[in-house]
Amino acid sequence: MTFSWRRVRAIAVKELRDYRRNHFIVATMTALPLIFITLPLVQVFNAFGHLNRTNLNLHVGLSMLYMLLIPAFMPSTLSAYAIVGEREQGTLEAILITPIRREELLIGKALAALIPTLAIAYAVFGIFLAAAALFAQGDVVSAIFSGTHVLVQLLFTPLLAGWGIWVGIAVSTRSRDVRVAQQLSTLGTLPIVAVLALMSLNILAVSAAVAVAFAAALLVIDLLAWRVVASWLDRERLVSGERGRRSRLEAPTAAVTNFEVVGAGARISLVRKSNVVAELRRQPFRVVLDGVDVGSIATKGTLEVPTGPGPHTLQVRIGRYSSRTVRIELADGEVAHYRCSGGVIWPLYVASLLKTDLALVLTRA
Amino acid sequence: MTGVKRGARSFAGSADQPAIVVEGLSKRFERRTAFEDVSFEVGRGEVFGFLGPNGAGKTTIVRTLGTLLAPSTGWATVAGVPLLPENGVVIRERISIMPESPGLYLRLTVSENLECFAGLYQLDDVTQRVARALRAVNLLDRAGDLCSALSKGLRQRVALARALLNEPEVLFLDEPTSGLDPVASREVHGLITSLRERGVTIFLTTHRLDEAERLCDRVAILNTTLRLIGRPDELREKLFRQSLEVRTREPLADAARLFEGRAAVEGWRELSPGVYALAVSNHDLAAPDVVRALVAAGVDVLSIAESRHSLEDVYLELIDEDVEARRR
Ligand SMILES: Nc1ncnc2c1ncn2[C@@H]1O[C@H](COP(=O)(O)OP(=O)(O)OP(=O)(O)O)[C@@H](O)[C@H]1O
Ligand SMILES: [Mg+2]
Repeated sequence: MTFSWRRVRAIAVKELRDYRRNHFIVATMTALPLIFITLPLVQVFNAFGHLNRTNLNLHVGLSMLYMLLIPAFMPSTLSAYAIVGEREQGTLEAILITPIRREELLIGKALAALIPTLAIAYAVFGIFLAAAALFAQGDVVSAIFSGTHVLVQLLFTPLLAGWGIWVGIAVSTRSRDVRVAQQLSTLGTLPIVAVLALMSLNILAVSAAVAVAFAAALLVIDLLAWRVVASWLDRERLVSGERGRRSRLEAPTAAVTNFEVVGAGARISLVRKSNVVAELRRQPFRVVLDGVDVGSIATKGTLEVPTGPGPHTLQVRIGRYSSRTVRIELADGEVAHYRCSGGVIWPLYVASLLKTDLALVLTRA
Repeated sequence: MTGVKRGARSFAGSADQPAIVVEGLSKRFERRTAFEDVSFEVGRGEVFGFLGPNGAGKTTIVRTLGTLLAPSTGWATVAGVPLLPENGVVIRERISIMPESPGLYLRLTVSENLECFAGLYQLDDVTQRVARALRAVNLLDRAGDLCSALSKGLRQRVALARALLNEPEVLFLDEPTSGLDPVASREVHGLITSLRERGVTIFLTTHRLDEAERLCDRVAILNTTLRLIGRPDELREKLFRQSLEVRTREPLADAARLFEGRAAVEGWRELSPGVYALAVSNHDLAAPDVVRALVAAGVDVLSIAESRHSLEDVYLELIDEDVEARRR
């Protein structure tokens, strides 16, 4: 079976038709360009009069850099919907039972985010150039059109968009919630925005070498990301949410009592509650006492674990995510009360992807 | 590619070959077995009904045969093609599934929805195909409506039209009439009948026993494992011994003496005072003998009748057995 552009087009056309009637997307596509063209125009017309030639060149470059925020932000907003949006609408299964290949689906989705981004980013840039050429002072105009500014702008627009698209789709294949996908994917564009910011604050000098290295890095990342994301678009995984997920929760759910209970014994009493409406991780937690899985605790649940006096360690986990390990010193006959909850704010959620013991919270009650 | 051995072309799908062959198929999720050791065959042009309670594994089996999920064990061919990962595209081209939820793009019109899928199937004459599919489900006049403006039943029909677009050899319908009013259901039934006349094999899952009884050539009852398979009338016979229902004016004082030892009577029980159910091996032998005994004992017989069991009885009986087996 060969790659079919017909199927790619079917997906892309469908997406573009869908955007047209999606108020949120229409609003974003209108607002972003307005926001990101105002400042550069103001600068070009007002602020540059007093600058000498080198400084002028630098500032022209920076205000054009500012317009690159459009391709940095917009595609990630669009593509965050790509898979999880289909899932929420219940259309994912309908798509997957057709002969479409995962690469075709992926390219169709990517084009649907790339085309409007390029159209808007280049249109905004065109308007900027036209306005500058017609109304700006002569030396500002020559600063804009001499050198590599225009070329850089044309080149970086699709490269940055590529980053946003792959981050968005990657997040989208993995999440079960459109809102979370949106937040994560916006967050995923921050590294790029950070680099742009460093350049504009002149901390990272925008030399030709830096620009070329940056472009090359983006190109490589875009190409690699495409392979990785394609491999995630596996039918089994998309439909059932399973594959590659090892069986993590195989331990028994009842509390085990293989502890030597000395004297009157001691107990640990654990409740699970959070102050907010929605925890981001809602599965039952495993409770680990002294390195041994002693039971599970569901949302709003409680668990009593009998044990002996002396030093203990306590932790709650879901799969690879966990709380910090808490050290406890129990006296004879003591009942220690603890409470646990899932992470509730997304910066912490994101941080926990790297440092996995930030995901859950376990504290003495 | 090893396409010569297993590729698309070698499966011509001859007419005498069954449309679906399933042998010892199981699907286990991480923590749950959806279905286990299921075997059956569906002939070409047959309407095959798949019954089972919620969570029995019906949808999972449709997804497995539709190449969305890989089976854990077992073997199957669908539309004459072995169910192997490398045959996914070929199978998907030959079949179509109408899933449990219609899954339409609500911000697109009816015809825009179908055009997208016509593209995914790489069909020629998109406009004509879309029109034909919509005509088949009686929706041609709503082609320009946004799907969000359609009622549940109409959305279901759009999903059905979408499933007809690629003119599949095997059509999987996952509860096609759930949530439809009687008139809409009847239309779907009519459509299924006309598809069958055109030789399309139909694999239908349903909760509605009357539907299965009316439409299906054969039905299978699934409850994780396959419990029973056969023609609806066969199933009734297989599961229930024939029985007689006897009504008397007064409750019998000595029912045991009257019923036991009569010709062809294998057992009896009192359903309510004065109403008795008799399990019999042969209705024609049992009825006259029972009547004779009752009359001889001076009992006023109000009626004596052969009990009739619908498929629903068969189904409920089976599922109850499962529930009891689990309790033990
Ligand atoms: N992706 C999945 N992961 C884990 N378990 C699943 C998954 N999909 C289905 N199951 C389980 O497999 C079993 C069979 O589910 P399935 O949806 O096939 O039932 P069904 O017969 O279609 O039920 P219904 O009549 O309610 O539609 C259920 O116990 C279900 O919980
Ligand atoms: Mg189902």
